[in-house]
Amino acid sequence: VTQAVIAWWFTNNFLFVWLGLISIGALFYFAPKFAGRELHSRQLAIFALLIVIFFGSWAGVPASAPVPSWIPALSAFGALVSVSGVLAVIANLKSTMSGCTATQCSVAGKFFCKSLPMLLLFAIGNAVASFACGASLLDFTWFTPALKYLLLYGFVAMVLLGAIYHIAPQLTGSEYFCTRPVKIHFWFMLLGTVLLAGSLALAGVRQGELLKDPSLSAMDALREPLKIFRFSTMGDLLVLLGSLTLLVNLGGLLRAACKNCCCKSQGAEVKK
Amino acid sequence: VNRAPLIFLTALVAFALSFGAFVLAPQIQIGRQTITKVTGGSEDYPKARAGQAAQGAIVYRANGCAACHSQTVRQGGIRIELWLKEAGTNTAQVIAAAKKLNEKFDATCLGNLPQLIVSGLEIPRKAEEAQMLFDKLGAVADVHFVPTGVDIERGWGLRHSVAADYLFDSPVLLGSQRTGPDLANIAARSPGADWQLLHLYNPRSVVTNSVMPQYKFLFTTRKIVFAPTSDALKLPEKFAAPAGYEVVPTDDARALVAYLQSLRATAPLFEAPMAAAAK
Repeated sequence: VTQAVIAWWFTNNFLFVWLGLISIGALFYFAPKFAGRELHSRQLAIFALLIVIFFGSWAGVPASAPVPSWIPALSAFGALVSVSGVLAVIANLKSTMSGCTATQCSVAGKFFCKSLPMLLLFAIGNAVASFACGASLLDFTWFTPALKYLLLYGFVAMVLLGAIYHIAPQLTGSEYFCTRPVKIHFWFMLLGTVLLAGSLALAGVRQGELLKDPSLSAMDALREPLKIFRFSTMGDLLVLLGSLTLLVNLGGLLRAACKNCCCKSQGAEVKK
Repeated sequence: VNRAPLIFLTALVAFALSFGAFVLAPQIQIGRQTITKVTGGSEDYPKARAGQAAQGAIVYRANGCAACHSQTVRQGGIRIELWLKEAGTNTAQVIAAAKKLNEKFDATCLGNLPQLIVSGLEIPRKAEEAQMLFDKLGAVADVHFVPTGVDIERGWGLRHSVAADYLFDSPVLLGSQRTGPDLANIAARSPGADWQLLHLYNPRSVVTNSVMPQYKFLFTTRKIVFAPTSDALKLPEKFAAPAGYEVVPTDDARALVAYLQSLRATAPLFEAPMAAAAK
């Protein structure tokens, strides 16, 4: 089963440490820009980084793993400690942005702001599900994919989308950039992720509860939580619709930029 | 100040720690596991899968069975029981000793041994001490370790899964989701290969409220030429092939069933002690 342990280790490191750190890095880059002042605390940022790379990289092995129990125990400890890293990130960013209203109005800022509670929820959920008492309820249920979606859609995608919406208009130098579709995308993304991860998490808890009752037949216990799938599918669809608005918006931006570019070069030729 | 070396070093140390703890150490501890003996027996465990079952593992993997079925039995704890196997001749003292351990011990049941003396002892040592006491009295008592937990009560296994159970699996298909029942021990509770084939062809033909998809593509429906072949599925009327046709499993279906019939983790091991079920 070493294969399985390595697979858990790799997946967690890719999702939480690698993608998570990219997003945290992006937040630390954009927050001071929006706020127009320096990052609140450099030490706190370094602390968060160290926690994530030293302890975050230990999480991932579920308590039910058929391996010597020190492996999931160490993993659960890593997951618990990484909550403190996440708290440090959030405290740091909140202090940096405190009293700054410009970010609330900026569309990109919206993505950044709402990504933070998602990260916190992920870290707490991950820690709870790692410990034996939580795992006995939540392992092998829909809670696991719920956590994954919370991290990927709720945090990583939100931050990267915010970054795209912030950079794209500056990059193309185009003034044509509708904020309306961005707002629509933001709401689709937020509602979609909450619906998707929230309903899956609820289904997971329900599934865990039902499976804990041995008098209930396995089929009945496994069937019932599937009803909640209607909501998670809605969430998935909302995320998809949101992504389509991004595609349309960026396509429009690109077209406008090209037009601009062509006109300029034509204008230059005429002058010659 | 050029901080690049410091950053590189920190990242390297963090990676080395994580790699050492979650790749290297498990590899050293369980990566070199070999075949062991079953507790209290001379049988080897685990046994390598026979050819068809080994092929079935590939079919299991290819069809994504592990996406909905886990192969891990969880155990809540262990219950230590003391059983009286032989009362010997000194019955009065044996009964007194048994009553000391369990006030409700029924003296009249000595004629019907083995009999449970006490269940739920906290530590193995207490059970061993009591066992020795009965030994001195000329009686024979057995200590049983009974795994407990929901998965076990549900009948999904007799004990928790341990690393040794997967020695011959590559890749290990543990699964992380239970959309369907756990399969770590399916062979021990399966009603047989014929049932498995029917279940794969159409799960609803044997389990009315199943949510499993049909795996009809693992079967061929063909015209009966002279008489139905012996390995044609005996489907219930509702699911049967049209008249004059029969449903025959392909090699893949047979291999998959052979694999499912090989999933059995019922051997007591050092790391997973387990009593034989009380007679």
